[in-house]
Amino acid sequence: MPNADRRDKPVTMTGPASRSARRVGWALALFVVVVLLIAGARPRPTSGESEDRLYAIASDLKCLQCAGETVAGSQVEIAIKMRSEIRAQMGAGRTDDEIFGYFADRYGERVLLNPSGSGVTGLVWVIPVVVAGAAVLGLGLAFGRWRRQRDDRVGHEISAEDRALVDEALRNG
Amino acid sequence: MKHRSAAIAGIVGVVLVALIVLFITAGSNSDPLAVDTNQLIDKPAPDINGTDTEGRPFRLEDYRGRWLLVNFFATWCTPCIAEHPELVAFSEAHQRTGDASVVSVAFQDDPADVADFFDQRGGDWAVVADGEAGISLDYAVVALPESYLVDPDGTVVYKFIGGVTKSAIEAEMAANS
Amino acid sequence: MTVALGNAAIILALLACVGGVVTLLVGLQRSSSGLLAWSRPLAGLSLTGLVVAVAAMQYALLSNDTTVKYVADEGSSKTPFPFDVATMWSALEGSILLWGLLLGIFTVAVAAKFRHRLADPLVAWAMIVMFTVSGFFLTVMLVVAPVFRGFAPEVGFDGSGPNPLLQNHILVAFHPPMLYIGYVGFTVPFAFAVAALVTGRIGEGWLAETRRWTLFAWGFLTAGIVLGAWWSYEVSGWGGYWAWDPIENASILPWLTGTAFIHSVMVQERRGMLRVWNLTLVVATFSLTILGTFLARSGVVQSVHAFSSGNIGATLLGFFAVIVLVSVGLIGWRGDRLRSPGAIDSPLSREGAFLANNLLFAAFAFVILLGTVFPLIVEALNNDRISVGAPFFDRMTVPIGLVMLFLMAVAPVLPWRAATTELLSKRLWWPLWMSVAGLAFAVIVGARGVMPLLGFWLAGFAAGSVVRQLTLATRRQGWRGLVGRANGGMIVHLGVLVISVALVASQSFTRQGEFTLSENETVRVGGHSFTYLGSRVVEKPNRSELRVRIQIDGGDIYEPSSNRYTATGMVIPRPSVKVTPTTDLYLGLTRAPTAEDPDVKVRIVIEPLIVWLWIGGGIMLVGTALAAFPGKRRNPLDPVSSATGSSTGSSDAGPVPIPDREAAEQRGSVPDPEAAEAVMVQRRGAAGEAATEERGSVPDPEAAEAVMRRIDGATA
Repeated sequence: MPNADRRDKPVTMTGPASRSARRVGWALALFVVVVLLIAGARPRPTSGESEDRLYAIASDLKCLQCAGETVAGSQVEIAIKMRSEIRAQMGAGRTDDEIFGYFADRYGERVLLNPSGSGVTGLVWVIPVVVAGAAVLGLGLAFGRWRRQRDDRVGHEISAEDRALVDEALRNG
Repeated sequence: MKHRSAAIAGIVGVVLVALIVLFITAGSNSDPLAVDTNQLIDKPAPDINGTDTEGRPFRLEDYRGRWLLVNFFATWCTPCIAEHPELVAFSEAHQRTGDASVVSVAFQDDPADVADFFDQRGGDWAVVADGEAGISLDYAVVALPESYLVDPDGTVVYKFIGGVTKSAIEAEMAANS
Repeated sequence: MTVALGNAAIILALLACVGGVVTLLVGLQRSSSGLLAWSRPLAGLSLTGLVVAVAAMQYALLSNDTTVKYVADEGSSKTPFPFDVATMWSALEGSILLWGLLLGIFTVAVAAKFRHRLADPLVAWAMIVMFTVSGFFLTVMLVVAPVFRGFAPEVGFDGSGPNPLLQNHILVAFHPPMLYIGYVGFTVPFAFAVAALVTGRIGEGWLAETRRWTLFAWGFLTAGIVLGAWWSYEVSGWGGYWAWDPIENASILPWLTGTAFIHSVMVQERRGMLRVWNLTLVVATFSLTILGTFLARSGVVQSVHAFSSGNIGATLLGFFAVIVLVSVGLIGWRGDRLRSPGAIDSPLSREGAFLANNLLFAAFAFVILLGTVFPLIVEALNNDRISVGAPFFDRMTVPIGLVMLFLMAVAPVLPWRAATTELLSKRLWWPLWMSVAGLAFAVIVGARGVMPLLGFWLAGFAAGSVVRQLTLATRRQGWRGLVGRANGGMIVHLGVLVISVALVASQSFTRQGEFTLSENETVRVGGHSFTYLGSRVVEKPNRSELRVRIQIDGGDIYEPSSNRYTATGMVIPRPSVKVTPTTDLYLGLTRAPTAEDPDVKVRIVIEPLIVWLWIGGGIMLVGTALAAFPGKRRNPLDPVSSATGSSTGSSDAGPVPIPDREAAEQRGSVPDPEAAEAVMVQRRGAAGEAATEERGSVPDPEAAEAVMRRIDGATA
C-alpha cells in the first residue's frame, strides 16, 4: 500500500475551477502588470550628487594599461585622467557618442569595449542572432519530424516477440 | 542515424582543429603595454597646449625644423627617474648641434614638485604641465614613461614605450631621416 | 631534499596511474576480475604520492625553504598565515599540483564507492579515464610546468611573496580550492559517460550512479563562482563583482553546461530521451573546465587572473582537443544506440521545457564563449586588436536571462507528456498573483525602469512557482517535502531568484561618484552623507596601510585604505564597505592624502541589495545539500510503491490508470515523485538495457510506448 500520504483532505493549489473565472482573473492580472510596468517606466528624480553617466561612459572604455579592466573600475593614473577628461567633456555638453569618438580617435577602436557594428567586429553581434535563428528553425523541424514519425507509427502491428519481451520485463520489474 | 552523427562529429572535429590552429598561430601572451603604435605614426604631432614652468605658453611651431622628443613623465614614476639621465645627455649633446630638442610633459604633478625634480636631476628644456589640458590623451599615452619622436616637419615618426636611451633616440632619428 | 622528495612522490603517483591504466586494460581484455580489482590499491598509491608531494610543498612554503624554486619565486618569510598556505595555488605550478591532488582524492573515492563492482566493465573504464586524466596532470607537474625545481639562494635571500592582490583578502584561501573541487569533480560523470559509450551501456544506469557526484561537483563550482564574485567585490575598489573577465567567463561556462546537464538528465531518467544532449553536455562541461584552465594559464587572454609561463598553453589546448575529439568520436560511433524510444509529444510539456532549458543554457554559454574568444580570432585573422566587453555580454545575456526566469516559473508546474493551457492557467494562478504583488511592491518602494521591473516581475512569477511546489510537497509529506531532488531543486531555484533580484537591482539602481574632500568636508550621495575625518597609518608585517577615516551618516566610521607591500613596493587599495540588508555603501580610496595635498579623493558607490547575492548563493548551497539528501529508501532505484517487505521491488503494484495527477494527489494515493521516477528507471532500465544488448537497438517503439503509458498512468 502506498505509504506516503497520511492526510485525507485534498491538497491543491490551483486557481478557480470555473474556466471563465480563470480567464477573467488572468486578464486582470496581466492588465495590472502592464499598468505597473508603464507606471514604473519613468525615472524618479534622484537626490544628492552622483556621476552615474560618467561611470556609464567609463565602463564602456577599456583601460589599456590594465589587464582586462574598464576605465570605470581601474585605479591607474591614466584611467583617473581619462575619467577627469570625461567629466570635463560632460560639463562642456558633449554627447556620449562624441566622447567615445574623442577616445577612439586617439587610442583606436580597441579602447571601445562596445565593438562597433561594422566590419569584422560587427560579426560578434551578428553571429548569435544567426545561430539563434538556426536553432529555432532546427527545433521547429525536429518537432515536425517527430509529429510525422508518430503519425507514421499509428496502426503498426505489435509482434508477438516484442509483446513477450515487454511482458517479461514488467514481470521481473 | 549513424551517418548523421558521424557527420556532426566530423564537423565538430574540423571546427575544433581550425580553432586550435588559430590559437596556436595567434601568438603568446600579449604584454598589455605593448599596444600598437599605429595611431599617431606618420601623422602631424598634436598640439601641446600648456604653459611651461616659467609661465610662458608653449608653442609647438617654434620647434619646426628640428627633431623634437616629446617625453611624458611624472616625478613619482620610477622608470621616469631612471631614464632622466639619458634625456639629459641627449639634450646636451644636441643642444650643441642644434638639431634636436626635448620637451617634457608632466602627467600629473604640482609645479613645485616638477621644479624640484629638474633642480635635483638637471635638464634644461621646456617642461609643460598637463593637468586638465588632455595633452596625454591627445598623444594616446597609456603608461609612463612614453616618448614620441617628431621629425623636423612636425610628423610623429616613432613612439618609445618605457624609458628611452640616448642611443635609441639617435638610432630612430637616423632611420627616419 | 624537498625537491627530490617531491619529484619522487609525483613519479610514484604517475607510475601508479600508468600502471592502473595498463592493468585495467589487460584485465578487461582477459575479463579477469582479479586484475580489475587492482584499480583500488593503485588509486590509493597514486593519492599517496600526491599527498606526499603536497605535504612537501606545504612544508617548504611554511618553513620558507628557498631551495625550492617555487618557494623562492612565490613565497616569503613575511607572508602571514594562512596566505602562506594559499601560496601553493597562487601561481601556475602549484595550482596544477592542487588539481592533481583533488583528482587523486576523487579517484580514490570512486574506487571506494564502487568497490564491490570493480569488475564491472563500466566501472573499470571509468577508472581508466580517471587514471588517464590524472596521468596527464602528473606529467604536466613533472615535465611541462615542473613543480619541484631546485634553486640556489644567495645568503639572506627572501622571496617577494605572492602577488599582493592574492594576499589582500582571506577569500584567496577558499575561492580557488572550492572552484577546483567543482572543476575536478566533473571528471567523474565524464569518466562514467565515456565508460558508458565504450561499453555500449548507454541506458540510464550511468546517470543514476553519478547523480550525487555531479551534484557535489556542481555545488562546489557554484560556491567557487559566488566566492569569486564576493572576493572581486571586496577588493575591486569600485564595487564591481563581475567584469566579464575572460577567466570569470571560463569559470561560468562549465557551470552553465553543468546546470543544463543536471536538469536534462531528468528527461533521460524518465523517458530515455535527450541521450545525445546529455552526453554532449557532460563532455562539454568537462572539456570547458580544461579549456578554462587553458585560457587562464596560457596567457592567451589578458586578465587580472592570467599568470603563466612556458608551454603550458599548448599542452592544455592539446589535451582539450584530444578530449573533445575522442568524445565526439565515441558519440558518433555509438550513434545508433542513442536513438531514444520516444519523442517529445508536445512542446508544452516537462520534456519540452527541459529541451528549451538546454537550448537556453547552450545559447548562454555560446554567447559568452563567442565574446571571450572573438578578440583572439580577430587578432589571429587580421592582426586587429579589438575588445569585447561588458556591453556585448550584457546585451546578449539579459534577454536570455529573462526568458530563463519565465521558464523557471512555468516548468515546475508542467506535467510530463503534454499539458493544456487550461491546466497551466489553473496551476499558475497563485504564482501569477504573487508576481503581481511582487511587482507592485517593487514599484511602491521606488524601483523604476521597464527592464528592471520586468526582471522583478518574472522573478516573482518564478518564486511563486517555487512556493507553490514547496507548499504542496510539505503539506503532503511534512518536513520531507523539503528534501530530495525535486524539492531541493526548488530551493536552489529560490536561491537563483534571490541572486537574480539582487543582480537586477545592483545593475540598474547603483549611484556612484568620485569626490575630492578636504578634512571635515561632507558630501551627500544617494541619500547618505559622508564626512572625511582624517587619516592614519597602520603598520603590518608585510605592508603599511594608509587608512582614511570616513564617517557615514554621522554614525560609524569606515576606513578605506591604500596598502603598500614592503617586499615589492606595490600599492593596492583596500575598500571599506558598510553592509545593510537593503544597500551597501562602498568606499574606495582613489587618491590618498599626501603632505603637500591633504585632500583625499574617495570613490563612493551606493549599491542596493548586494548582500542578497551572497545570501542567495548560500540558499543555493543549502538547496543542493537538500537535493542530495537520500529519500526514504537508501537506493534510489528501489521503488516505494510496491508491497512492503520487498527491498528490491517486485511488480505487485499493478498499473492503475489515473488521468490527472492532482486528482490522484487529492485521493492521497500517489507515491512521491522520487519513488515514481525510481520505478520508471528500474523498469525501463531493465527492459531497455536487456533489449539493447540483445538487439543493439530499441524494441518496437509502439509497444514500448504502450507499456510506458501504462506505467505512467500507474505512477502519474
